[in-house]
Amino acid sequence: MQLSQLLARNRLIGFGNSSDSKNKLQLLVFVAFSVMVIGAIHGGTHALLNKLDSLTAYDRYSTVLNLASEWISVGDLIKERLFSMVMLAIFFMLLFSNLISSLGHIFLSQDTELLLASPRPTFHIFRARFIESTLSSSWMSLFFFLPVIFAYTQNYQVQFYRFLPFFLALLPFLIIPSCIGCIVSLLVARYFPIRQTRKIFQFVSVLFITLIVLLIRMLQPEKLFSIRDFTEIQTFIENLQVPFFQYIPSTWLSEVAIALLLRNPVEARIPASILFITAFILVAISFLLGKFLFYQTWCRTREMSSAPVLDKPSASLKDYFKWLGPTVQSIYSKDSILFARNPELWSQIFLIFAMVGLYLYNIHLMRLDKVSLYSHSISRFIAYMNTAFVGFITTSVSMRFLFPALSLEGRAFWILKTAPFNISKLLTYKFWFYIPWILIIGNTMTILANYILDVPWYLYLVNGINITCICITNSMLAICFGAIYPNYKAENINKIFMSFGGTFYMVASLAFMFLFLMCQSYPGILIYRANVRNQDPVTWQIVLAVGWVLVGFVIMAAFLYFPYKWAVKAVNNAEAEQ
Amino acid sequence: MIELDQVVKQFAEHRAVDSISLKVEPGEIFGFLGPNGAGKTTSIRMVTGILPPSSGRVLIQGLNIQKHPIECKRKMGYIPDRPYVYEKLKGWEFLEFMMLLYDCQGPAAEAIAETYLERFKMDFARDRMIEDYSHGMKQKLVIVASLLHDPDILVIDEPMVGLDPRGAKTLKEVFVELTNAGKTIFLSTHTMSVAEELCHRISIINHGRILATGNMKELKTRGSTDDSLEGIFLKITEEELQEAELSQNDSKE
Repeated sequence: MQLSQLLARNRLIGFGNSSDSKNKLQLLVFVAFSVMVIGAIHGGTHALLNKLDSLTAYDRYSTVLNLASEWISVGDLIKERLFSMVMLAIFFMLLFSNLISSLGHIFLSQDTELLLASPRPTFHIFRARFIESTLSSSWMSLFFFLPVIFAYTQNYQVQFYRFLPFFLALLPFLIIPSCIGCIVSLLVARYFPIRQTRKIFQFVSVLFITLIVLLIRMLQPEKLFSIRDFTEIQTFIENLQVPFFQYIPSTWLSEVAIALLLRNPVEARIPASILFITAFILVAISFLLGKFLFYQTWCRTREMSSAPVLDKPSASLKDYFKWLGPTVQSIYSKDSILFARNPELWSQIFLIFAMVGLYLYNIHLMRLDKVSLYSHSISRFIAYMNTAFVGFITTSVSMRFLFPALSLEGRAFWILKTAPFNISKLLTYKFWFYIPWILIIGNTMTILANYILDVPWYLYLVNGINITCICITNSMLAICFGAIYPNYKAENINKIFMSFGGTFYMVASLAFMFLFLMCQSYPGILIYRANVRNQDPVTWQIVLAVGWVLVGFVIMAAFLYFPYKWAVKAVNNAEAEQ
Repeated sequence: MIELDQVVKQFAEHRAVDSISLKVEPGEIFGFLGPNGAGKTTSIRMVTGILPPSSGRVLIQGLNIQKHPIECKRKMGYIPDRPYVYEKLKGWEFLEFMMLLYDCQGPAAEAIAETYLERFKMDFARDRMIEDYSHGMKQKLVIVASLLHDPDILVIDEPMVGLDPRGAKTLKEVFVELTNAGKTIFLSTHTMSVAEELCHRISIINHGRILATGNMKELKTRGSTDDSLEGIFLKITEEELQEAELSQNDSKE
């Protein structure tokens, strides 16, 4: 049996073993969640494409030249352009995930030593790693991409079997970024300490993704749907017909897909051939490099020391926490130093900044572009609902930073477990360590959005209180769920929060936000009526409003108390891995 | 037979193994003793073909492992000090994986697996997930896995780590049986009693260099002491330390 088959067999058996016991329920929830996501992507794309079908533009030139058609359909062009954009995004996603995944698979897999001691050629080990890396970094993109494809085939009413050649062309499209990742990894790992390289790659990838997201947003893709922004319809159409980048695989695959969707398979031959030839050349280069460099480079990775990227903060950081007493000082200074030395963690901050920037930019566009359409009441409604959006963003931040906080103790958890302090207090220590930052993010975004939307003072107050409560509860929930569903053995942070516990945390925090904001909305309505319509509330309305506020706080208390109680139990019972 | 010929391993500025030469004959248990960081594990990794030597040759039954890795590895079983096992597999599934990896699947390998699982009192755990195993159980499983293809040479890094007294006793018995059948065993250990009890010959290594090689009698002569192996080991390594300090002082002057 080939080594790649053997390793795949192990994975499948391992997956079967995991799902045949206690994890069955988790798997069920995961599958249900996945089906929902796939359904939502498919439904959303289908609805959007149907909407685009009816999109027409008035052509002034046709009228001037006395041509027959004055209204021309631009839906197809926009759909094609949209498809290319999706493909471009997926290609870059694949490229970045392959860069990180190939380094991990090729050089950091724990079983490499076991395989090297076996009578298998080292090239076979490399080849197996290449296949593993390709599969592991492609399935997620396919997961999001396939429902889009199905929606397109339905919209264009193409029988599925006619579209099968597309899936053939998809193969080289997935292999190309994998080869690029593999080649870069082989070359980079020869000269740099591997663990740090991987972290730096992750940092650079996050930075790149941030820049790309910002770039795409600044290009205002919504203008694709806003024909009035183009002075002439010809300019608009010409703009749509020009490909973004002609020499990248996503453009070739888009051309294949569009040719098949338009029932013109002959047109698909050239881009498909280019895809296959490129993939073939890159596979040949990867395998050649793998044959000659893999074993040598793997040995080198065992010889190089991994100096921390940031070494400076260690000396000064611990002094900042002196006033908190020795126990908290030791935990906080350790957490700060580890955070500063781990680009895997701090690179995520750039994503947060990008998210905040994008969010405020969107709010800004909303106000400037649509000011004539919205009355003050709608603007205030947006400001109120903004709390939920900001809450969602802070929840995502908590998921990335607070949820893994306990799991990141990893195999060193036994040190805290055996130290002379109440281990359950670790939850509150972690909470207080992170909460100031979450509150700063949440409140800054809320205040800035309120300012941009020009809302009255009482909404500043209501939104401020609401977002503070949401930040506190969701941060505590993140710490607690992270303790209830820890993963002390995770090799990287993504594995910690992309788990059943992480999904469960998101569901719980969204449920809390929904319930809490529902309860808090009634007093907001009363204040609005009093301020805008001069309708002062009567006594029973005030009592009801106070009642709703109290219910909101009771819900908040419940969401804080019960998970905390379960988390304390979980931490006390946690087995310290060594 | 294992032969190391002027083997050197250089890690950047650090020479982990410095011109080691030794020969382990069939039917012999050869012990590699040394303090932490002496170069034992690096030497073992070179013997098993995991790491290439910077210079020198490692011969496995006359074949250079660098030139004929597959043939050499087919003849060897390896038990690392911190073995990696696929935690989501069950014990027997891991053994099946190892049979396929070493291309020895079939009734013969299965019979070996059954026999050693029983001898190491591991048969009750064959259908349990490895993630539920204790450290010692994992060690026993890896020992069984290393014997599946009936290797001529067994290379072991710290064999007794995590084993209970019964497991350790069984392992010693297995070693003796294997050497009686003409197999070669090359082991590194910190446990003096194990080395003294089992090994036909012992090398004491420190700072990547072999300080002494021989059977107990020869080592006693070399250490000019009639002490136990522990005493000989401490004396020889102490002498080496003093010599190193002296030469350092000389070079300063």
